[in-house]
Amino acid sequence: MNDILDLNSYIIGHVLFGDIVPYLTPFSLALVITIVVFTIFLALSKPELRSVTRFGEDVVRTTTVGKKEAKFRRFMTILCGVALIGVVTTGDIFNFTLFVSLVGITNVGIFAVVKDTHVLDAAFQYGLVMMICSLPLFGGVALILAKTGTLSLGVLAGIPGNPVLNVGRMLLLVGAVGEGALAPFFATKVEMIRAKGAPYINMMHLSSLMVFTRLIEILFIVG
Amino acid sequence: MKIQKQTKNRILAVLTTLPILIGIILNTPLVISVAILTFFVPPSTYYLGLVLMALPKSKKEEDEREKITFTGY
Amino acid sequence: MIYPAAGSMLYMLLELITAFLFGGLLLGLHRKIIARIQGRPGPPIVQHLIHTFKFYIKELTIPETSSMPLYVAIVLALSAVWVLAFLVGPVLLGPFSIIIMCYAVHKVSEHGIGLASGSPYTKMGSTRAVLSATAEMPLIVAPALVFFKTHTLVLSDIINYQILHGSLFMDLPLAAIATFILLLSKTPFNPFGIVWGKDIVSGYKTEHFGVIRGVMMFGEILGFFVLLWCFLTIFFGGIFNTPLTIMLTMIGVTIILGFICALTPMIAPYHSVMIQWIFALLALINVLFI
Repeated sequence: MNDILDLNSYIIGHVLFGDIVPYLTPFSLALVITIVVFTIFLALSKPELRSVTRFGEDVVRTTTVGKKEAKFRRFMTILCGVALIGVVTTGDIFNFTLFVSLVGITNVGIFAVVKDTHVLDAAFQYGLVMMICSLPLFGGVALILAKTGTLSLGVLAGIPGNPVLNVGRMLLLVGAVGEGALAPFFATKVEMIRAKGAPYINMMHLSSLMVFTRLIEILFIVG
Repeated sequence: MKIQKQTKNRILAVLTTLPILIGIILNTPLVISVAILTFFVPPSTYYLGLVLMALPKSKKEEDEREKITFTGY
Repeated sequence: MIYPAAGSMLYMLLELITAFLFGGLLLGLHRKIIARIQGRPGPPIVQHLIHTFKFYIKELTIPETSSMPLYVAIVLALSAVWVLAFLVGPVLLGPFSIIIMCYAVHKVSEHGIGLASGSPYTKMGSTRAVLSATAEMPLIVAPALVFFKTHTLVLSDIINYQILHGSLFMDLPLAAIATFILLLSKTPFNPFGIVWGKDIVSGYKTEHFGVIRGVMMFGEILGFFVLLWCFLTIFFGGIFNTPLTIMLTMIGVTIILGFICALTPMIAPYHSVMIQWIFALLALINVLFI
């Protein structure tokens, strides 16, 4: 648990569960609280009225998300929040990858019911990126497992770095970046947030940045 | 309606400032102090601001508010 | 005279207020420098603080189109995040990863503030906030390099390392430059400030005035202070580690930032993203020198 201590100064608590050890540090506690607070507020908020103007008309119209659509998207938002809590608290890389892909799926789910071709097109492309990136994501984890024989972060923290682990780390980075729609793959995300429904869209941005912050920690711990 | 809103804001201002004062008096442990400051400083500034905003300022300003300067096209 | 014990709540609250006042003065100085370079007399240095206090007694109206309670809560989240970052960073010298998280949540809040009001201008600002999240790149590169060099991300240990081995700026100059660009992108009137560009009225802040703008400015002042402090502590911690030297250097860096902001135009969104990427990649080259 050396690297974990170097990153976080101290560990608040951990659950001994065989090889998998979920643990709580000040960092993950801060992340969990942020996610819980955001999820509650985003689930409680009603969608905004979007003002729309068109050429040739002298009026400003307002549109909003329909009731049925809002219901499904709110459900997906809450699910995304739950998956995010899994992402930040888990002490096992395989669980991390599973939760990250769940975050990706719920992100597409948030946009799947929007009745707008641009948004649906972008969501489709994001889905493609996600599917392609699941290969490096799970491949990286498989490589780390093959090399070290463990997936527990607590054990991995004590294993010194070597070239194979570095390749595994790089694959994990590429995979998680694609699943969470981070920096190089975020063009689809910018298109997707043309949709209505502020609280739900905000959840997507929150999820990708939380995955990003947790990813940094995991990349430091491995090796 | 307007009076109700002001009393609501006053109550919330007191409720959000109280944990900070209690924390100072009781000298709470570090983690709890950080949590209290993080959660209650922004809302307390917000509600104190709302209470301040609604207070009547000077007499002159109130008169100016009453005065109708523009009656429309 | 009795001083409150370090780590007690009163102490932290007083530090918070001091940082707010000092950060406000720094931003005032920043504006003054920009004005002087452009040949204007400019507002007094206390203007930014006066501005913040003024908003606290101005009337608040919430647009009917806004998404409540997100509209208010997200602004409170923005300032809460910087309060947390301030307490964990300058006051307690805790883990740097929490400050990274705070910066990330700041980005989310910017995005949410823009979305929640329902206005097309703020929506545009929030879309650009997603685009400019590439500023996260220096944020992953700089801590990574610092971690590989010092084998710790706890701020007090980083400072101790620098006192023993000399400032990290000597080892990681390119990472320091990338972090400086990150700092620059958080200063008002900066060339990368596409999120609050005047071409989209005021970006994500367009619909926010009154008390809520005051709370927002409170958060932004603290954020500027924390980022400035982090930049100085992580890369120059060996030289500047007393409060006085840090304050003096903060003034110096603010003057440099003022010169940059006054002399550069606002860059178009895609160019802004591209330039930030270039600096992040430059920082990656720094890996070769470790």
